[in-house]
Amino acid sequence: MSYTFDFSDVFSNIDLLLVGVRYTVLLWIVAFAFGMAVGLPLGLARGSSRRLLHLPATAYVEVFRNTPMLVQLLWFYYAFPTLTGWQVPTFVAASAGLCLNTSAYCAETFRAGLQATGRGQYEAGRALGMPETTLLRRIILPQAVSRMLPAFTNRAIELGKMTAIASVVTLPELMYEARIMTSNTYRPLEVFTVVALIYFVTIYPVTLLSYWLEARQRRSA
Amino acid sequence: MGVVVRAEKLHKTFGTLEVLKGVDLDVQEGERIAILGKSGSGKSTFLRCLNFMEMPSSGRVYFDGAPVGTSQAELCRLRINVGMVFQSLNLFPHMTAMGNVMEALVSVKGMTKAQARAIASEQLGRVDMLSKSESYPINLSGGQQQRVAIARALAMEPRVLLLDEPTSSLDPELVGEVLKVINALAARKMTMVLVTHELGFAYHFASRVIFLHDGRILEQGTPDQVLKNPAEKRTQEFLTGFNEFSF
Amino acid sequence: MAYQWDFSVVSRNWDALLAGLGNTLLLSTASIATGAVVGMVLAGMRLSGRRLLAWPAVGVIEFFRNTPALVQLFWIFYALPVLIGVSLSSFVAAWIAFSIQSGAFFAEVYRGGIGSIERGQWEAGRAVGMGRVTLMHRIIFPQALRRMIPPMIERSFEVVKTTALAATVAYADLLYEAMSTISKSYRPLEVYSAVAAIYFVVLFGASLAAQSFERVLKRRGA
Repeated sequence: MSYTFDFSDVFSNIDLLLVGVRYTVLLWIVAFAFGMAVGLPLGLARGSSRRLLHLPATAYVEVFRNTPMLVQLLWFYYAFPTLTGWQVPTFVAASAGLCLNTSAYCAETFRAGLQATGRGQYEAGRALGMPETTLLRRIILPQAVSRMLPAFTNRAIELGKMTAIASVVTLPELMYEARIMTSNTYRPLEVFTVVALIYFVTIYPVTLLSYWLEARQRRSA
Repeated sequence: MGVVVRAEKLHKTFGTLEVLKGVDLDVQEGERIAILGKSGSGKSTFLRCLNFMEMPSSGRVYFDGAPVGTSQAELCRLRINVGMVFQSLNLFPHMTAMGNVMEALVSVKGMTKAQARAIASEQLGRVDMLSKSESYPINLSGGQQQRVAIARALAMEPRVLLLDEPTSSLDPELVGEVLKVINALAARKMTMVLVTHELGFAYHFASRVIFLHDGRILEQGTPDQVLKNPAEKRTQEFLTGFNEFSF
Repeated sequence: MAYQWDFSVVSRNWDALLAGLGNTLLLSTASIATGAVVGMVLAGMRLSGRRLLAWPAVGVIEFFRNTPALVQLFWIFYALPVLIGVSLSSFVAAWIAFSIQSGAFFAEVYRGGIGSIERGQWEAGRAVGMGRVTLMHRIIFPQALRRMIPPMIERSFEVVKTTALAATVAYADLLYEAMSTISKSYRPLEVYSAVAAIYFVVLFGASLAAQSFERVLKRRGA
């Protein structure tokens, strides 16, 4: 093979990629934080015995888990404005799409984690006169969190990778910058190799964290 | 002496199984009631209906003469006044013994931590657990855990304490220390309703014994009446094989 | 908001969408099947006990599990041809990308399944004089297989969803057909809704089928 690598174009424009990384990380954090926040009430509704709560929550979770992220994102970017007449900014559309998807997965983690906490703990709290919100905040969630942590970390990893999809709706995150740079420099090999490595070093620490959490959980089990 | 808790025609069904078939009970201030019966007689379910751990299918519960509704606020108010000790202990594993007793004082009664700590120390002292107050439940024996659970319930200053087979999940050698604590409460005139299999203990503990059979109260009276001279055939059958010397 | 829904755009382009769905399923099946084999090779290398085999396998597995599928696809579609001097069709590029990616995940499923078999089974096999290959083939793998099936199925659904990315390199899958329908009709709301519904029906139907399949397995004592 006679191809000569030439990374000079990539490195002379590395600041563009770094701006992209900032968007990627921002998108990652915003979507994850909101995904968790929406996932908790959703998971509670999913685990509820009341049909009026259980059925809509189940439908929501199943729809977002059984359609491709890219389709969800395109729907939010192109279809949602048609319906509401509200032209959402790209960043809002992208983070909303990723957030809703993440919330569906987080809901399932919350539901499983809350159900795994024994009935006796709920009863002990109630017998002391605790209202349900206090019970959840003080007794149930603190116990469930460590059990749910590996699943949330895995979700964070999946979300980190999904942020690249936002490039399709022209959000100037890392992957989008890479596509622009490729069309300017005609150096796809160098650009995408560097970009893949940047993603790897950004996401891999979270994976290492998940390994550590899983090992810790196995030890305590 | 007034009626603290009154149960009126309590029914409870699980699916198609009718566990309680109309149970009435007045718990008088200062009374110590022991509820006996075979497993499956509905005795635990009845006790758990008194503080709505189980929702009765029909019937009413009165506290201080007023009927208790099923809104969350009313249930919480009732449960502050009607404490419970569980068979399965149910300490909060992520909190120390002290934390367990302080928790509801702070998060339900709104006390400051200092106030809660003072009360919790006093209650832990009464069950002889003050020296272990900073231990987590996992490092306590079953008997020690149950003593903390009793302190946790008493810290709320309930008017009535419900005890649901408080010793039956404990190793035999740990039963004594818990019964000693319950006896000490009896000496202080605490109003208590106890579900138990320990007939010997029930005999000495109770001011009134209730025998539940198939979801109904079959017989009640003083320990001497029910345990030594039972009128009903079912009660006699239940007591056969039980050695009189152990009273 | 009085938006006038008009789903006739979907029914008018139904044949194209259906053809797209066919291509989605083709790419999915090819990627899952190849990925299952790639995963087996990677897992075998990783579990071989030889560093020279294990380390490259770990490298591939970790790299493909920790980078976006879209980046992998673009690398293979745009960058790999530069390196090897042969241009790849969008199908072949997507097939390669998703096969290695799913292979990396499958490898971990295999490893988890095999690792979950108690040490006593290995010892019992060795005690009756079985060699490593026989032991794996006759004792360990049959037991591990049943535990691998649920995560394998789950991962396969992920692959189907991932194939939608192939639309970005103009592979004529369901999403791509939807995009070209939209560029002609300017009806993104109806078309994307319909496409989401089609994906949902396929994936949710498959997951219901998988659940009942797993129940059957469980009843057989897996």
